[in-house]
Amino acid sequence: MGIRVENLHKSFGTEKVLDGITIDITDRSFFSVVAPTGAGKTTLLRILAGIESADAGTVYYDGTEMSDVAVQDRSVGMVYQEFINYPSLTVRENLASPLQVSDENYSAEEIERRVQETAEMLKIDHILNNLPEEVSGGEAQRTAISRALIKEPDYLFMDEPLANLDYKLREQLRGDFERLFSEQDTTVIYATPQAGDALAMSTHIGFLHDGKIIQKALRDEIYYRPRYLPVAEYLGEPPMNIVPVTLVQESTSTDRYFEVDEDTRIPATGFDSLSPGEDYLLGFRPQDMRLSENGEASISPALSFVETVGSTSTLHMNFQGREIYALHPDPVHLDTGTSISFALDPQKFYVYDPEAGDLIATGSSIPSFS
Amino acid sequence: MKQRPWLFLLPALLLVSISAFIPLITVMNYSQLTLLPGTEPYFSGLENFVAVLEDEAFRDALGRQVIFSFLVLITEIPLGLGLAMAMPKEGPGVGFSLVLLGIPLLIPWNVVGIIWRVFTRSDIGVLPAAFDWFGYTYSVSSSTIDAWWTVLAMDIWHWTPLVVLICYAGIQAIPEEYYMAAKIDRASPWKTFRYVTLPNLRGVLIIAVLLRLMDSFKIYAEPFVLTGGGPGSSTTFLSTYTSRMAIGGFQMGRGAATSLIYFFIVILISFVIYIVMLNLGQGAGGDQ
Amino acid sequence: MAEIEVRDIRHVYDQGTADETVAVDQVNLTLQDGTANALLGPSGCGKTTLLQIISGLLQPTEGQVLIDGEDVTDKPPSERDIAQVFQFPVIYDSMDVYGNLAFPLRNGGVPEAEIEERIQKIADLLELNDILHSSPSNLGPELNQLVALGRGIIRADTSAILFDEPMTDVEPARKLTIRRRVKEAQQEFEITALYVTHDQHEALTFAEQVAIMRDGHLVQYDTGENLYENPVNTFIGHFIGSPGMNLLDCGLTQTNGAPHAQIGPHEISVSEDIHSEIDLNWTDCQIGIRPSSVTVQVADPKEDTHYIPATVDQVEMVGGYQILTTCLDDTDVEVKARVAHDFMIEEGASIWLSFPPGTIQFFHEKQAVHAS
Repeated sequence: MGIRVENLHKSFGTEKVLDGITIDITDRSFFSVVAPTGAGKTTLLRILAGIESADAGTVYYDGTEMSDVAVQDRSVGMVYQEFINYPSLTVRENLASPLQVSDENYSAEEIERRVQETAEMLKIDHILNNLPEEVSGGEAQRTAISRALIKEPDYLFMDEPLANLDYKLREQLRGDFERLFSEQDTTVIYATPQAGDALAMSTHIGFLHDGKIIQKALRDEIYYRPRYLPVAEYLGEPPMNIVPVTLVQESTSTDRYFEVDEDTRIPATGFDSLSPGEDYLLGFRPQDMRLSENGEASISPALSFVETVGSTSTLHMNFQGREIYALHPDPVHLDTGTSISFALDPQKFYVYDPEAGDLIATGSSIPSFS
Repeated sequence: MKQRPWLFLLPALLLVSISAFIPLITVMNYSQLTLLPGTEPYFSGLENFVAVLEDEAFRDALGRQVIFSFLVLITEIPLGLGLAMAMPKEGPGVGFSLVLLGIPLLIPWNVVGIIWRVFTRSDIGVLPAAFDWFGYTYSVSSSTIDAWWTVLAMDIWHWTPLVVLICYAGIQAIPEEYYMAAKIDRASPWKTFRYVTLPNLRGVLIIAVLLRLMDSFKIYAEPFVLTGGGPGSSTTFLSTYTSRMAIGGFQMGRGAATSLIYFFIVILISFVIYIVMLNLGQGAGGDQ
Repeated sequence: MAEIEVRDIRHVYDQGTADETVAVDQVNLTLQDGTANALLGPSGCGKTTLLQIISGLLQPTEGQVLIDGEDVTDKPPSERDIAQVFQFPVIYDSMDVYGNLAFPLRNGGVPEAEIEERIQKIADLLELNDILHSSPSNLGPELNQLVALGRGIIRADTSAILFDEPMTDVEPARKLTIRRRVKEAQQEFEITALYVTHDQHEALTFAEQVAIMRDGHLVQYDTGENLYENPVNTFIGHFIGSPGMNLLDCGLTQTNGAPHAQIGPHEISVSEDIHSEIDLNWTDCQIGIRPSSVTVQVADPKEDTHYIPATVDQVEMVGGYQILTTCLDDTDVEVKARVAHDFMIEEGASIWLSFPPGTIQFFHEKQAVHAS
């Protein structure tokens, strides 16, 4: 029951929005399309759902070509960023409405049963008799989601449904969604600019860049092995640090280093496949940077400032004219300008090709997926 | 499948073609014929156009028309905008003002003319009586000045409410935050108007100006009823001229040519105004 | 620069009608001169109302607003010298960026030479130099919000700046940069600032002190560290932190002469300095522990009785870490624990958790119990 998309193209005027999208969306998966605002996520979702037509390309649902099937004849549900509910109907009536207008004549008991079930699932059974304006933003959005789910669609499309919600609610709904959809038969296609949302909920993630899905993989795989620079720089909170380096090896020794400049050399243990003298982009995650205590320093960036939230401190630093970040699992108290150094573990490095921007080597502790 | 949207558009296209395209093409056809009663029509090329453009009465009517539309715009737009800004933004006053403003708009053109004709009658009219009280003899039928300002006043009375409604809707759509920011920035009322209200109403004002321009260019029924185009031909505007030419003078060909010239003038002026207003004050320097 | 104080503020909307709602109730708050503060709370908690009362855009039903000790409750916004940055960038788009920045100064009759000097300073700080003569309509919401901020702080006599959820329109990927420039501007000018948001991350990163509101009341006004370490009640405990504090309903037992929290068959020791405060007859008790304080062990700790067995229900990636949602064995109590981003664990796995006593909060009737 998955979705297959072949070579999808869409332009608005002279602007190419989708430029050859080919993906397979696994049945019953929670697939997130991640990209910055304006990259074409909404357009892709609409084409997949059948609300908009593509200039070229084919969409298959469960192996059947869908180009000539109108959206009302597809088993799809749609949830938007705005909480779209019928304002004059109660939550109960809102939930029942898709069943009532449907061609399949649902009995009153069947409708009541489904409303009750769906409401309980999304924890809105206590507000069934309220009007949408009387409930909170989170409840209103859960009502909209319930309405999309009540017909038990095979495919549920969600376009940034959490964007207009309070931070704390968003956090709660992320967890609820993950749990809810892991137990459902529905295939979820979810568009978001928030890397965090996608990482928290999805089973699969696709990254949309320049009109193409440049990588689509299991959540863990795309996180641990971002194949291209734009993916690495986007899928992380804060983003992966990227530093231009040259691989060097002294003639007198077998030790290899990533040289940032004359004073800064980072051990390159284990990267035997790389060629000395070549330029690379070295990537390392902010979580994998350890403040060094006994002089075993790899890099010494200039500290711009520290943000501490709860038990986590984010260090904002400038290194070779680039902004880099380090995440520290305990609060650190450091003033701007304090000289600090970090030890970096080559086992957790990513090496990218500076021209093509693709991943060419990783440290030994980065999990591999086949 | 892909053609379906066009099918839905078909009835509308049909309607528009009957109501607009076909008459327009007919007029284009007529404009190149000599159509005199009792004779066979024959093709006369651009003769009608030349005759119209050389006709002094046409040029006078056009001049009057431009002056009239200009006066209409420079009074109705600021007045309408001012009234819209003065209107209450919430509460029971809103409904009351809207109904009050709606009244002139609901009256048919010729009835407006008749109402004002009654106002101006020398025997029972309120206007002559009022002016008489100040020692001024007011007469629409003998004084060009009186006729002009009466026609103008009638148009203002009739159409300013439309400008008010358009501006009011535009003002309501300006986020309150802009006014809060202006307050905090210590902007004077004038500067608040100049930098908040006016730029945010640009689109709405373009619509109001174009609507009033086109409508005032087409003014016909009201002056026709009120003054009959007089005294002399002092309130004979383009439409009055055209209809006299075509129907009164039985010169359908010349009438058609006049209509076309008239049509292109309206389009040209509207286009120029649209372009000018669109670019007006668009991010222009840090002026004081 | 100034100290801002609100005293006994109460605000009621639609007073005397059927729609009457109390938006702010009995709020007292003092913002020290030159400090960065945040006002944090869920939607509808009254934070925006309070902000507008401070800026003067709204008159409070009761109470006073003082700037440097002077009562300004009856003064209009223009006389309070308080700048405000709104949810979306409020820009005069018929003027270029320079004109926007100059606007409040020109309105105050500042000479052009001085205006230019001031603008230069602000532009350097907010990195707006390249766009000074651009039209704002071409700049996008992020830069426009910086221009709005610049306009707010450009007046030398600005006593405070208020932010009303200023990141709403800012693209997620750019929030970090924008937030940083906002923070730097606040520090550079040592301007008293109040930042209203529902996002604790923004509040805690911007402010030295955060006021948390709920249902119109001020619940706690404290440093980020204190809000996190010593929440006054369970609401703050849950609200601050991402995810919030684990709040576990518990009974009380006496073991080895010390009160212990009892959860199902498991006993958990609490910090020694509150032993004397705890009454064993209490009901409605909860212990609170941060997910980051929970120690996770994959191998069976055998003899070590501090560890409680649990099962992993859910693994989420949140804010650079993985959050495990677990269920304590033989109970239906849910505990979230934070582990490193590359900690490999499957849903359904068995693990052992321990709650170090020094990191446990104790709540009675939702209020924190502290050592006296």
